[in-house]
Amino acid sequence: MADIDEAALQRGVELGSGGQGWVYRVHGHQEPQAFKKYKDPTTVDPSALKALVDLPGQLPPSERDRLREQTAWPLARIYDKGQLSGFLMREIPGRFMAPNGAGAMKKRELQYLLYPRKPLWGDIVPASGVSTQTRVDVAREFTGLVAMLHSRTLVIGDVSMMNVLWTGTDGQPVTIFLIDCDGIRRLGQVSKQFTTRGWEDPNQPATGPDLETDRYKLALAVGRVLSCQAEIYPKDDPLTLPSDLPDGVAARIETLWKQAAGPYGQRPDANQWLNAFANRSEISR
Amino acid sequence: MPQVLPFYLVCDESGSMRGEPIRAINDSLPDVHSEIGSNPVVADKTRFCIIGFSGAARTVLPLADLSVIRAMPTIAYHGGGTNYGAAFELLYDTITDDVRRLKANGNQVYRPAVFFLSDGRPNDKKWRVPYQRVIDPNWPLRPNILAFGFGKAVPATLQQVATVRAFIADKGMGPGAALREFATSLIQSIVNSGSRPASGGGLTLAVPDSIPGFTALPADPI
Repeated sequence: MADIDEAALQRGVELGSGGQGWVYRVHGHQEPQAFKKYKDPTTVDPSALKALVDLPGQLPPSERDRLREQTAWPLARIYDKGQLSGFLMREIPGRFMAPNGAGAMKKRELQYLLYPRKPLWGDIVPASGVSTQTRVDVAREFTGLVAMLHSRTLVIGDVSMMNVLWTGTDGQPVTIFLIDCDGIRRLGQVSKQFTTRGWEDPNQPATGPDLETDRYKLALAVGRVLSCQAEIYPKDDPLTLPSDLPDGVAARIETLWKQAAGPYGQRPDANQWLNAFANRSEISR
Repeated sequence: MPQVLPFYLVCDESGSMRGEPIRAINDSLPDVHSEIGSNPVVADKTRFCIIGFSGAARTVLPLADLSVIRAMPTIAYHGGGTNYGAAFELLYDTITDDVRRLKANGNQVYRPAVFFLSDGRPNDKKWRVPYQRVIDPNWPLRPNILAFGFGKAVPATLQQVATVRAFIADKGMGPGAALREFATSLIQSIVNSGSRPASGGGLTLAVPDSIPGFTALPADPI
């Protein structure tokens, strides 16, 4: 989509705010959309944002659809009096929101798979908890998205328990949704170093986040989701995999977790994880 | 090692708080409970304690993980005047005991954060004595203090209490509205402190830049 003037947006309620900016609902489109307005637009590279906006048009239909279904991808840059002020994106689909114990609607973030369930979580995760199959499906769906992004040499950068949303409670099918996509970059482009505490790659090179650092963080996501642990690390901590995970899958996951502790350049890639979930033998890299 | 940032709400419960102000705080405390308690990483990384003070000071809520307590207690008028000194004495002892216990349980504890809230001036002339112990640069556990005032609170006094920033409710703000904004700001600060991106690896207090209906003033600790 071409750049849009902020004054032309029909801005609705504030949906949330974070360190970088505010998110507002935007009216007037068939599909619910949101506007992320930056607190400090001077820190944002307009050409990098344009590259993200233009990307879906360059992809084959199946990948374009996947981006649309599984991410809050930037759809258009928003300008205010000639200055970049933010971007337009899909609003988070309602199925990724749920009421907590007090009835307040919250995003069902990956973090809810990393801690034992509390009554205050309400319907975000039901009292019966989350099945092993749901954990595997969430891990696999997210890995599939990473595989696609990496096949296009796109670096996510800030992978964490706050920017992946999921469904799969109470018999719903598992789907995932990646938010905060404006930090995604083509490999080789300089990007700002946003990282979340506990999700940094200890071997990140001076050049910054890249596909290899994404691979490390993917290992953290998979290992932690399957183990229901928020802060385990491949170098120091064993996985605590559920006992009803099929033996073959468990063994493969354990192997890849240990491999993720290895030096830069040797972390398992997304396809290796996908093979592990499918209990498929690898063809050596 | 798990990292924890303890938060202390030090809340005036004196006579002038009776009625709408105390009601407004008590109406907001369940929001603090559910917003923090239903956010796993924030609940994991923060703890919350309430100290109330009027003629004397008391622990309303011992330092707690908000995701495990069933319900929030309420604050209430307990007689006597507005004794800032008693509040700071209890705060000093409470922080000392809490940090010792958190460390004994294997936590890495970050500098405590205090949200001090008052609607009036202190009755006790010697409050600065126990206060000095709390902000003593040689005390390794000295907290970051944000001070909030409304009603008849004296801005200059609250600036002296604060070590980071003071916020004074604007003249037109009724106590109910001021306290609702205060509670929102407290929640946001705890959430942001518990979940913000790493910059050096530790936990730091996310200080509000501005609060609707309040004027921010620089701290002027004595």
